[in-house]
Amino acid sequence: MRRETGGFASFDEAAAAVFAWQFERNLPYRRYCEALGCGPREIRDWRGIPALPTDCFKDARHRPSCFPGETAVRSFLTSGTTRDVKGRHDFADFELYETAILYGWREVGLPEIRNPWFLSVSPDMTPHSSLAHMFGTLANGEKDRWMTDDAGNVDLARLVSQRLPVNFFATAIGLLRLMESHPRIPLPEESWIFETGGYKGLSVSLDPGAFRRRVGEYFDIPVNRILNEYSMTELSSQFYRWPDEPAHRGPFWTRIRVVDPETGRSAEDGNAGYLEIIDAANLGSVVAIRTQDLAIARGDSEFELLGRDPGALPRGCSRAADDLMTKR
Amino acid sequence: MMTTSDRILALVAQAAALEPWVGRYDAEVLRAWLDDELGDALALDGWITRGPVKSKAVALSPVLHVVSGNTPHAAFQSVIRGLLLGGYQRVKLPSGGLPEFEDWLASLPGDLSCRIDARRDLPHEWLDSQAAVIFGDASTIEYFRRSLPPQVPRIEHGPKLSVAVVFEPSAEAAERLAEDVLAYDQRGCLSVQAAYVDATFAEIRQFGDTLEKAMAAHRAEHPRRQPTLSDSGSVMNFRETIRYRQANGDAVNLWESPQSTEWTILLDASPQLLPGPLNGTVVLHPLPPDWSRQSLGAELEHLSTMAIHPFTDECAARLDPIMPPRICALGMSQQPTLFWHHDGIKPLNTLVRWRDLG
Repeated sequence: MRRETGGFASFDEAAAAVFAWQFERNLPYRRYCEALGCGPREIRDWRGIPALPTDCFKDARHRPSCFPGETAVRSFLTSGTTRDVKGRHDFADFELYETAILYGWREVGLPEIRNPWFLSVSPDMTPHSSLAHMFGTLANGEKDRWMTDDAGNVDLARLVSQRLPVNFFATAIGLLRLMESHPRIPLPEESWIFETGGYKGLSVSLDPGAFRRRVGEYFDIPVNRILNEYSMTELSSQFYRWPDEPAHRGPFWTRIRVVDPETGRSAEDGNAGYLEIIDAANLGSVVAIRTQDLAIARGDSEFELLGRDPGALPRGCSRAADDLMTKR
Repeated sequence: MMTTSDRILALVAQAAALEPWVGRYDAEVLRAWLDDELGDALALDGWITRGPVKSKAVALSPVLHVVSGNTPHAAFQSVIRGLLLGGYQRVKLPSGGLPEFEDWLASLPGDLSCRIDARRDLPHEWLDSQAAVIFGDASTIEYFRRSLPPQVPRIEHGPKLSVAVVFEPSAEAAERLAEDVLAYDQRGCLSVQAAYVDATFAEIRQFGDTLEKAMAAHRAEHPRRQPTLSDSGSVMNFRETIRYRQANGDAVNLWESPQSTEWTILLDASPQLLPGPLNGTVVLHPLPPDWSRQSLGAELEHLSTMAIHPFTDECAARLDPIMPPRICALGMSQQPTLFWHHDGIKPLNTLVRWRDLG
């Protein structure tokens, strides 16, 4: 198998094959593509694959899935307010999903996970959280590394007592709440932190740089050892960025597009637009996803994330959602 | 020291300049308004007998007005009310400014301008105002709830949405609806986001065809401001989600401006009222089986204005079950007069306190 193309002659060929496979099995997505005048015959390269908005995963009558919902082994749900309709991503099995998580981690050159601690409940306690499942996959068999119980209580004692370098996984919100409620926790030298999720909804306004500086001071680690992850419930793959890197980058089976929403065409080089992700590991649903995040393209699988589009909330004088803390 | 008559005369001198934002008024109307809300226009100048006691109204002063940048109407109306009552007005402008209002301030004579201070920032001492009228989104309202001392009365005008009801679909109704949707780039609480049409689904589709032409014509005559990425993105996301539903057989129909996000019309068989992406988007619905929360959904609680066509007492009476705070003629939703009860509140009465003698 050729690393860059997964055994296909090119990524274009691989993406077209995944699209054709989904077009055959995912009727709601197929109908959408047909409405756009697009089918396997029209797809010449990955750039032509229609991206489905994440909001379509909220449509209970037309789930964008390649298999019947009742045969799903698990469904991950998006987070949101109690009055929001949650998006749902069904999985027929987890083999490819977990392979994408583990292989993607190595593929983008991230350090081996040796002593993980998760500021999270265990995946068993929150079976519909894609993030908790990812944490469980990265834990790689380590049990009892979950620091939050089902009542929301955080047990820091074992983390504080660590003498070996720690790999600490948390959401940005979780980190902030921890920093607001507990004295500093210096981590052993060579530790690093994985953080994910948006910064909106925080009780204080922080830009990502200021937030990381605060996290670094709190845990007594260099800022450049705070890894940011970008993904969402509707995807199967992840993108990562260390602070000293120019962009988030994904594994070789991903591509990104940045679209000018006014025209629907690709944004000019260096210009911001809506981020679309082509994720060939998203085999059971839709290979191309249109997010509501703003970004600038920095390469085929790399983007500079600008943040969540404020327009993803009800607009203008409409009522604002009261929670947008995490993307998944 | 200006008397009530002095203030009325000073404001009447501004009537022509203010007409686009507050409608027409004259001295007689202003005096009658004070009579109505305070019992007697002279209550601000001296003791007025009320049964066995005498009473006097004291304008709350200073009043803090927190105004938003989506439309200038609210800023003008709120400040004019405060000036009419005689207090000192502090105006917290949006950070991007409010050019129409600031231009008017710059043109004011000394007897009025000395009673208004307007800034784009918020000095801490302004939080000690005697009352606050707050226009804004949920986060703005929440901020001032937290920041103002508890004894400061707050008159909150938070996020709302407005709808139209077309009892007789026609080309005229379509033109009026286009005006209510597109004016001020659909940024105000009074911007129409949805229209209920008393017709069959097929007839509403025909009305959609007519509205499509009206929307395009309106945009041609009144070009929108440059959309932000977010403006365009919210419309694009909305359209594609609808296209997905339509492709999968839902009873929806989509009209959209070609090669742009200038305007969008959705026909949805469901009567449920939902906030849309704004930026020139309107959702057509059939009339609900009844005007109830069950039929229209939870957003009904946030209804501001219902613009109806034709504008008759009989048509207005049909909306009695939900008692909207304001019913107006279609085409006029974004032009409330100075005298309206925004969110059902008497605007002058809330900005005075009373003293009694006896």
